[in-house]
Order: sequence, then C-alpha cells, then structure tokens
Amino acid sequence: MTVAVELIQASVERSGKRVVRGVDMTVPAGAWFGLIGANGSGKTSLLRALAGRLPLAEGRCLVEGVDLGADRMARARQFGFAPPADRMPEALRVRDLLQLVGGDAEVALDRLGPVGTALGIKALCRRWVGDCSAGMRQRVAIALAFVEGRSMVILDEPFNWLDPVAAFDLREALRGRVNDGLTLITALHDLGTLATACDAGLMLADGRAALALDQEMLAEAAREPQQFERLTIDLLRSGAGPGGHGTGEQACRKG
Amino acid sequence: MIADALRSPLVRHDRKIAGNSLRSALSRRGDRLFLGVVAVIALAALHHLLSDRPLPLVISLVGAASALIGLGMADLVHRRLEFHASDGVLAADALSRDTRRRFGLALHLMGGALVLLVALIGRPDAALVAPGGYLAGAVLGHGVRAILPRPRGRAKGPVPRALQAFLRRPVSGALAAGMLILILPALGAFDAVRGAAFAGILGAGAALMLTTVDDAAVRFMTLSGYSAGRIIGLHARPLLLCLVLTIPAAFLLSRGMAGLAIAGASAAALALMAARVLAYRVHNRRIADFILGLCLVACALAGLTFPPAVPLVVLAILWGLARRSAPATWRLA
Repeated sequence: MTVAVELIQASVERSGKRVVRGVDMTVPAGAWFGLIGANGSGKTSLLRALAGRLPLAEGRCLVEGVDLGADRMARARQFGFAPPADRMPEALRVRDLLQLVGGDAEVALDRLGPVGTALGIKALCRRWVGDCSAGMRQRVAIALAFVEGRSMVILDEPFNWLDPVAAFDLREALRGRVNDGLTLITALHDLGTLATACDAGLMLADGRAALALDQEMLAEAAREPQQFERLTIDLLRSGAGPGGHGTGEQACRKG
Repeated sequence: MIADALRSPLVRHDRKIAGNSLRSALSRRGDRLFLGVVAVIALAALHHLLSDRPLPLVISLVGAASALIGLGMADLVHRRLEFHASDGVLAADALSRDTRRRFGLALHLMGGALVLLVALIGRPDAALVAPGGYLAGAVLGHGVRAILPRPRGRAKGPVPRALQAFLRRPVSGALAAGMLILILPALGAFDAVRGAAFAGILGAGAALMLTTVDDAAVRFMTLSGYSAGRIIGLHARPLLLCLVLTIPAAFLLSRGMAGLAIAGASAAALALMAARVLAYRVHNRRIADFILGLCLVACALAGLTFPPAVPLVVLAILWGLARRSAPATWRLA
C-alpha cells in the first residue's frame, strides 16, 4: 500500500482550546478515506489543519513522504479543499469563483469532469453566490475543491444539503474519480456511505482517534451494514472507543 | 512591482467583490446621482472647513486623520488575510509571504492615494502631510499586530451575545426607563439647558443600546415572511416602552426639557434602527453599512448647512430604503 498522507500525533487548537489531540491517521494513495465522529469530535478541525487552513499545534504531517507539519502553505497547495459554503463571497458569480481558483473557467469546468455533471455546476455558472440556496452553495464549494486538478482532495461532509439524486450522483462520481487515482478524504455522518464507498476510515471521539477502519473492516461493514451501524453507534454513544474520553456532545451536555 | 501587486490573485478577488458590491449598492441612476452629490458636497464642505483654519492646526488634523486611516487599513489588511487563509477560496495564496506582501502593498497604495486626493482637495498646502501620517499609522498598525498575539476566538463572545439578546427584550426598556427616571431629579443641579443636554446624551446612549440590529436576524425574518414594518416594530419595542415610561415621568418631575431631549435622541435612534432594518432586508451587511454611511453623511451635511432640513432628509432616506426593501419579503422562499 502506498501512503498518501500520514498524520503522527497530530494536535489542533481552535480559539486556544485543543480540539484534536494526538491523532495518528494513515491515508492510502488512490483511496477514499472517511472520517466519522459525533458533532464536535474534531473532524472539521482536523481536515482544516490537514488542508493548511489551520496550523498544527503538534505532530507531523507527512504528505507523500514529506513532512509538511510546519508548512501551512505547502499543505494548502497539496490538497483541493471545499471552502465553507456559508463563507463564500456573495458578491461573486459562480463563474468568477471557478475562474479565480481554477485560472480559466472553461479549463476549470473541464477539470471537474463527471463531478461537475453530478453537481450540475454549468447551470449555476451565471448565478450570484448570494442568490444560491444552501444546496447550490454546497455544490459550488465541492466543485472548487476539484478545479485546480489536485490529486488529493478534502471534503467536509460533502453530502449535506444535497437532494437524494444529487447525493447519489456525486457519490458515484467521486467513487469514479477515486478509481482513477484520486486520493479523497471526507468527513461523513452517513455510515452507509462509509461502509459502501470508502476504502479506509477513522472514527474520532472527543478529538482523539477512537477506531481505525481498514479495508477489511469496511468490506465486512458493507456485507453486514446493520451490525456495523450498531457497532459504530455504540462506540459513538459511549463517546470513547479504545482510548477515548467522551464525545463533544457529551462535553457540551456536561457544560 | 506596483503592477504585480495590483494583479495578485487576492487583490483580483477582493477587487471583484468590491466592484460588484458597489454596482449592486448603486444599481439605480438615482443612487449614483445621490452618491455623486453627497461626495461633491462633502468635499466642498471639507474644503470650506479647512481653508479658513490656521495652517499648523490643519497640518495636525490632516496628519492625525491620515494616521487613523492608515491604522484602519492595516487592520483591514490583516483581517482580510486571516479570512483568506482560513475560510477563503485562495488560502494557499493568502499563506504565501510574497502574495501577502503584494496584497498589503496594493491596499495601502489605494488607501494612501485616496487619502492624498482628499487632502489635496481639502487643503492643498497641507496635503503633503497626508502620506507621512498614513504611513506612520500603517506602520504602527502592522507593528502592533506583529508584536501582540492575535485575539483568540470571535469578538462576539457569550456575554455580549447574552447582553444583546437581553437588550432586544421589552424588559430592558423598562430597566433603562427606571435608570433614567432615577437620574432625572439629579438634573436639578444644572440649569435647564445643560440638564436637557445631559439628559439627551444619556437618552441617546440608552436608545442606541435598546435598538441594536442583528443583520442575520433581519434577513431570516425577511425570508420568513415578516414585513419591514413588523420587523421594525419588534425592534422598537424596548425603546418605545422606555419612552412611554420616561417622558411622562420627566414632565411629572418638572423636567420637560430633559424629557424632550430624551425623546429627540430616541427618535434619531429609532430612525437609524429603521434604516438599518430596511437596508439589511435587501443587502448583505457590508453593502448595507456602506449605504447607511452615505446616508449618515447626507444627514450630517444637511445638519451643517440647513438644520431644519434634517427631518426631511431622514424621511426621504427612509422612504427610499422602504421602497427598495418592499419586494424583499419571501424573496427566496
């Protein structure tokens, strides 16, 4: 197995608080890696740090064997990343965004390929971002992760806000891109997608790695989805898993 | 180097946003005419105000104002770069030292040129102070940012949010009224005019606190089908309750002048709140605040040149904003 990304004892801080603590994570090249966990478990912070949008407080981040832990810019250049859909500038048209990120709108659309078709992005090109619904913004944000033609892409909960047809088409298109060699890292809440579409994964609980999911475990999960759901729900409910210390939700409830 | 700075991806990104925002804010011919008239009158008033003043005083004023603008621009550069690096679509560029430098240079060139232009129109013989003052302010702003740690978390912490929520409840109006009524007897220590001025200042402070507007809440209410009048009414409740209690009490305590001053200050705060609600119904916060800034300049100019016209200007502004915001309800439903 060729390793695309390896995090070693990675920690991330937000607003002075450590939200990800000592996480080890190995992402195989040309695979779909799913990150699951309760709300507030640190998924978004970990992905943002991986994509250079946040600094790593501690630990190493090996990307194709090179340690980029201290170099946010290099990490940002390595990964295609979907920006937060609600923070995209309302006073730009979708085409402007594609052009600013991809250099040329037509080239950017070509780079999207089947993902662009699944997202229906051509139909949105003339729209102002401010006039887009939540689902449309989500489509645009996902498209932006692909328009630079990176070989590694990070998407944070990409199926949120999408209608069932769009979610299905996007899942198929993403799987196709992964089969063609893309390394895809996504945060997910949908255990079915994790079991059927992902090649490897990790469960986070309270900012720590609670359960590493390899290809064998996920293949078994795809065969026995109900049993897998029960296992993961029990782990999420216990908030710990091996070495965990309670979920973010539990921490919130505790005040 | 300058051409490079102006072509940098972050500058192109922000220039496009600024251009589109301006076009959106000034989409009608009347809006552009209004901006042109306000700009010409404001510059003429500035020239008139500065031309008769002693040169040393003008130099101090121009230097101080330029420094403040340089300080503000330095802060804007840092805030934009932080946004680009964490939430923007061009994060890699925003994390590159070279691109950051070019972005800062471009914004400071535009800010410095604008300051110099305004200073040249205001008082040409003092204009050369402007670039120096601007540079000093900008250097100070960047220096402070380099030395002091970045503030952690968002500016709106849980306490201000809780306070804001409390201030939007009618009970806060009753509380403010109670405090004003307790202060009214103490105004007897002053003559009627000073007492009224003091009451007006206190009333204005209370009124502004009681009429805070959350742009996101206004947009949500608009999308949920609330009319402009209903949103303004909901926002006005605390201050109206405060006035209902305070004004009769002022007259009962023989502080009629003070009561009128509080009523006047409150009317101004209500007008400002209504204008903000109307603007936030149609525009995002940045564009709305830009439009409101122009409106405030227009009111200030009317106040300086012909004070009795101020209420008419305010009514004209509210009428214009109301016309523009009327179709907004259910716009995206």
